[in-house]
Amino acid sequence: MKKKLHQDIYISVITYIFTAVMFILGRNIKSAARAYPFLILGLITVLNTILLITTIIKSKKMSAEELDAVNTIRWSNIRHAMLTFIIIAAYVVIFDILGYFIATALLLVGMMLLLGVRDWIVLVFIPVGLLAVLYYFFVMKLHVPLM
Amino acid sequence: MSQFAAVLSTVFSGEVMLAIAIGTLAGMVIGAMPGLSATMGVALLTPLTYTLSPSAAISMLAAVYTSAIYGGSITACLLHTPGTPASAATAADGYALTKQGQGMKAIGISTVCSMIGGTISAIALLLISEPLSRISLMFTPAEYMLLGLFGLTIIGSLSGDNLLKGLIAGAVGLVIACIGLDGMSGVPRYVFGITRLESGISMVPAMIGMFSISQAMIITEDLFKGKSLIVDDPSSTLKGRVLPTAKEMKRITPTVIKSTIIGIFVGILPAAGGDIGSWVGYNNAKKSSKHPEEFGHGSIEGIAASETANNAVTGGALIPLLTLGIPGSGTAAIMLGSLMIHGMQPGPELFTKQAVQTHGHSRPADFQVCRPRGARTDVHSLPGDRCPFHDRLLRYQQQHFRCLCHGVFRAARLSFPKGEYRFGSGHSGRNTKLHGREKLPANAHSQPRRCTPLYFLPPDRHRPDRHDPSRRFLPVPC
Repeated sequence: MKKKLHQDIYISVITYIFTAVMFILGRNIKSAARAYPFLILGLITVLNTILLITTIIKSKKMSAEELDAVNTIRWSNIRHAMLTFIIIAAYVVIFDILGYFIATALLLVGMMLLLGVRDWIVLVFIPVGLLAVLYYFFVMKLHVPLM
Repeated sequence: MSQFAAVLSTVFSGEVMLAIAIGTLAGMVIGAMPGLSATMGVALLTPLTYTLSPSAAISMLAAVYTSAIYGGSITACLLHTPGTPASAATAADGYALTKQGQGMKAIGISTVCSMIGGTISAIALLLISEPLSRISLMFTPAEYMLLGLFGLTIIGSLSGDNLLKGLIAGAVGLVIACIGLDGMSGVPRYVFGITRLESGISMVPAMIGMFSISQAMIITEDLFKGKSLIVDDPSSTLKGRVLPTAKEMKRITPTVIKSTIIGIFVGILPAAGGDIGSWVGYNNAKKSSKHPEEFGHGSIEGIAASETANNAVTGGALIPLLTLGIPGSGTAAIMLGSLMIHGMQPGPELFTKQAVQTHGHSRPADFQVCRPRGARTDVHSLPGDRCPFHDRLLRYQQQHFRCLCHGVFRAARLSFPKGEYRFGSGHSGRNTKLHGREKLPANAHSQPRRCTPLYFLPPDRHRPDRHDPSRRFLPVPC
């Protein structure tokens, strides 16, 4: 069995990328205001380096089977979860363009289709009913602009 | 005794009882809805109280506040999605119990502990608000910094097996908290030109992202793997004894007592709310528990700790609000506005001029605390008289109010001309330079230690000419 990398190594790499991006973006901030975030980013870098070194040392001592058991984050385990995340991210993007009601209706229909709902009555009446109730209570009664 | 009877007759009137019932129901529904916090609930329902009497209105809003905090635990236990930030600490253990088929037990413990925490904090509000409000005045930035550091130590108990990853996650959280305007200099950080980011990442969207969206992702994945029920054992569903047994009560009693004290203490601190109280209570319970390994896996002590503490915060948060006029939490800040809408000025006068309405929704026995020395016990004899304690409170309230305004003033000062301006009485010898277009009003220089922008003054100091630019600065009598 081919030995794979420990999943904490991927986490370390992602954390390094996050730190680097925040550091680059923070260079434009005036010096007094960037001191604190840069201090925290430095702390993250130190902690992340310790995590990376300890993980490499630990994984060298582990067999391929042990590593396979430890690595619970696999694409097959997160595929549909990531699809859900993409749909929610798309909802956030279209929210400003289409407004709350249309965007939410599309999100509900999209999520129901993803989860295997094929009954058109359910697909129509759940978004319409939910949004009608929300409109009645929030817009008409409580005067909250859900736009 | 006559005051107590007057208060009881106010509380048990039909209007007030109905307002409390509606407020409790509405608060639970709002609290159970992720994205709608107790603060939003009070803000949303304030317009509905316009037509009510002050006693009924404030009773209803207090009921919304306390029941919304409890309502957040329902979805936290059943869906792993806390309805309010205050119930975030409940989610792990409550949902773990639900997965074990004991969802009703989780709800029962949450309900009982919420009731105990809320009741004891109300009694504290009733009896010992004066010493507690004194403690809240002692907190300076140094103590707040230590409280923040203490909050960071909670990472240690929540990290599970890998403390290093917990510390990294905590530090990433600190970086994300940097998004928005720098609290010291007002310089925007990581806002990418988006105006909405300037106020930072607030707690509710962060909580929805961490709990609701992640839970939606987990449930989707589970559904595709053929798991259509939350519970591990499909036959158990939502069973479980609702009320805790005597043995369970005995086990959680020390936790409940400690969490109540923690909740009240956190509640009286301005700017600290139920979310902080519940995490501190949870952390303390885990450290002192005989079974710390159960925490996060369905510990009834964990549910009891967080739910007791977050409900104990509600009474504590009202102590500085009602005695000093300083809100102890975001919800209390909204209630401050609601009190003013109904013609009640938070602070010492709430226990003199408006004693019956105040005690009607909070604490009848506070007459003992607030009665001026030598004054008669008749409620209607109190207006105009103040004890030395209240004089000190009033002075502090005025100073604190100006401190709160200082940050806003610093942002607003850009519209004023170059020159020297001394703000407030607390800045001895320290001048603030001004840059802008307008001329500084003459009386600002003549009253350097007594000036405050008019629109930051309390309502009783509003004047008809407040929109006149030449009258923007007015003396503040101390």
